[in-house]
Amino acid sequence: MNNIININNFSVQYYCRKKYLEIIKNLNLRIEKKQIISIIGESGSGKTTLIKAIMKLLPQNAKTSGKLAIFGKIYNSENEMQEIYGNKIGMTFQDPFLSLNPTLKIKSQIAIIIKKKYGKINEKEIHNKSYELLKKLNFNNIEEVLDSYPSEISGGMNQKINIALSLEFEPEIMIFDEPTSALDYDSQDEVIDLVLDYYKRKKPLIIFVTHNIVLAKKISDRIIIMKDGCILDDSPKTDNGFIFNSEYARLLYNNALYEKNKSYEIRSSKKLIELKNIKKNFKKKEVLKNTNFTLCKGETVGIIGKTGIGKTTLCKIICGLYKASEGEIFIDKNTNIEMVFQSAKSSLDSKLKIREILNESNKINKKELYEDKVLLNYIKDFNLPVDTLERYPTELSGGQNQKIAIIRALLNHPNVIIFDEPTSSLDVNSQKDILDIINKIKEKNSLSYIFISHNPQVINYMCNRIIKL
Amino acid sequence: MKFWSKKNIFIIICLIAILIFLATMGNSPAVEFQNSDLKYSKPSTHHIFGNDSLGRDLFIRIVYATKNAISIALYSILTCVFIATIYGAYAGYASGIAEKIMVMIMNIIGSIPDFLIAIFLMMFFNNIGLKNNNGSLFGIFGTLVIVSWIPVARVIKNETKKIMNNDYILYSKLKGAKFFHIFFHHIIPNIKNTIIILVIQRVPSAIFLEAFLSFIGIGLQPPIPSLGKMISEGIKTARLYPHLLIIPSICLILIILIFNIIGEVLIKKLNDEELKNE
Repeated sequence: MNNIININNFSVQYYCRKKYLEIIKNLNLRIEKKQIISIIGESGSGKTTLIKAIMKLLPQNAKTSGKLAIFGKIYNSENEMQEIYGNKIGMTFQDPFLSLNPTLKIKSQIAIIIKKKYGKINEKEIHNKSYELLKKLNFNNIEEVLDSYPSEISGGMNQKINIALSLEFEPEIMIFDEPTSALDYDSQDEVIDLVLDYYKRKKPLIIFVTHNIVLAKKISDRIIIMKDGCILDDSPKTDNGFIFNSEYARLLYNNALYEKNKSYEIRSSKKLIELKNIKKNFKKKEVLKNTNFTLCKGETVGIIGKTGIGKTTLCKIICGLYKASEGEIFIDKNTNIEMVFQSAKSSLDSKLKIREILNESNKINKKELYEDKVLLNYIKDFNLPVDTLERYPTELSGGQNQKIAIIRALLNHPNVIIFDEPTSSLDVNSQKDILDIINKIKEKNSLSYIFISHNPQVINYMCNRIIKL
Repeated sequence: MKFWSKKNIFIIICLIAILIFLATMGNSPAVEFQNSDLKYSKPSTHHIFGNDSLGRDLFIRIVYATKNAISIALYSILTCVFIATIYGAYAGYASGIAEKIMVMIMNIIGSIPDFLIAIFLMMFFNNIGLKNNNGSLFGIFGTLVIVSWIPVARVIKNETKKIMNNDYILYSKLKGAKFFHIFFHHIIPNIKNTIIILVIQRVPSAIFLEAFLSFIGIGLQPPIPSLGKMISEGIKTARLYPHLLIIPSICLILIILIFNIIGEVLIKKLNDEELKNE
């Protein structure tokens, strides 16, 4: 009866704005073998809550009931878990920018972990080991990265460093919460290789929370599907792949994400934006060199490339937020550019109501605020709840927040919208939802798009023309 | 219960009104009324705390000294947080040379020892020639503000820097927002709880600092009553007249303790509410 993780009749409730929300309902889960298990589910299905419950990292307003044992022992608080954090059980979190301390340089943070692992060790050794660690992750310019703050390098790089640091202590149970959603395909592969290499060496239990089914199919020994706070289906890997009983699970599993559609016809040749030989340096780092870019009316141009290569920087130059170090920029004079950012969480201020968020641009420019009637038209078009204007971003899901970001962009009647990875933090169903909405409004409002993504399938689905940086 | 409910806002406004009332109350002449017959008297029915070395009623002096301690502490912390918030927020908003200069100023001022500032300000205000040594009131007020604002400004700056990393700030800038819009629209709502906690946490130490500076003689000057001064005088005659030492000491300990407890209760309420909104 050596269960690694044993969960019986487990429920979690959150007390939020005067009501109890049931997040997990009577969940039963037994993990006996050390293998790679993926937990898949839509946003809101309870996967992250389940993981936090295992790690005893639920917030104070959470109430739990039922039994949860790790290695046969029940822990009642974060304090009791201290004895197994790091050495027996470890976790990496979803948001790469929240995982590393923003006020310490990368080399300081790596040094903390190395000192903890090796005890007495001199500065030179620490530097060597830090260098080795980053070399294994295939970083260029390792010295620069070591000397940077987390906010100065890309999200993908942050995530890779974070995962590598978590694996330093070689815990027996390792939990990954969406480790690859902010990474491009190459980085994803590198991270997965790290994880699989670790698995081969130490044979730990790995729990992967993800909505990337393709990845889960490739590496898992067992897939668990969650919906609405319960485990819907649970299948080990068989000779015929994974076999699920419920219709929902089968659909999710077999979801061929995007059929190639899109006629690749070239629309009118009126150039709206043109960039020639753009160079951009940040302090001593050369982020963009000799980059060219054009956008014609009616097009959707995709920008694809590895994390950290400068896709977002290029767009910020187009918007006028950054000045290019060198090069020519031409923007047609009637062009009104709007931007939709990657993480809905950081593009909407959680302390403001949706109504205030949508009206912010008018407030800044001292124009009249939009009447509720006007805003509600958009709300209805996007299938959002009727009371959305009164809500805060924290009361909406990721997909709903992203829709608000799109509405915010549309309100200004732009003719160009830049989408910076608009769907990478969303689950599969929300992704398709958002992409379809983006396509629908393009025709209706005669827009031109610049679309950044690291997912080739999404790019193929959305774009007429692709630029690789 | 919600922290920013109408009831709590009403309580806060009342507290501020009491503050204003306290500060403008001034000192009643009874504080300084000397009766040489009653010098060093022990507590009695007419003077429930006894009398001090000049025959003044200790009870009245303790009441006014406590009022001074509380109102000076509250005023100086509120002023200090007001200044520190604007300074710290701008330092967090700015980048490049402007930020470097602002940080350097904080480091320079922050390295001057408290008592040097206290002495300098006291001399300055005394030389302006306000009557009754009221200059020392301004001196202590100025000292507390200058001494406390830098750590607060640093916290505000760091919090602001985190906020500035968010895409919604990028969006505001894209739309042409300058510092004031970002400050009132985004920074304040996100740090208002931090500010409250900073204010609450610093009040007990401000009360202590005033008492300490007055104790070593560079704080409030007579005839303005101060608990610190009373304690330092009480030490001189402690063997013969212990009540002159014990009573002010207990009073000082009590008010610092009370403010610490109030502070912890309020901070816990704030934190609970933060969590509930996640």
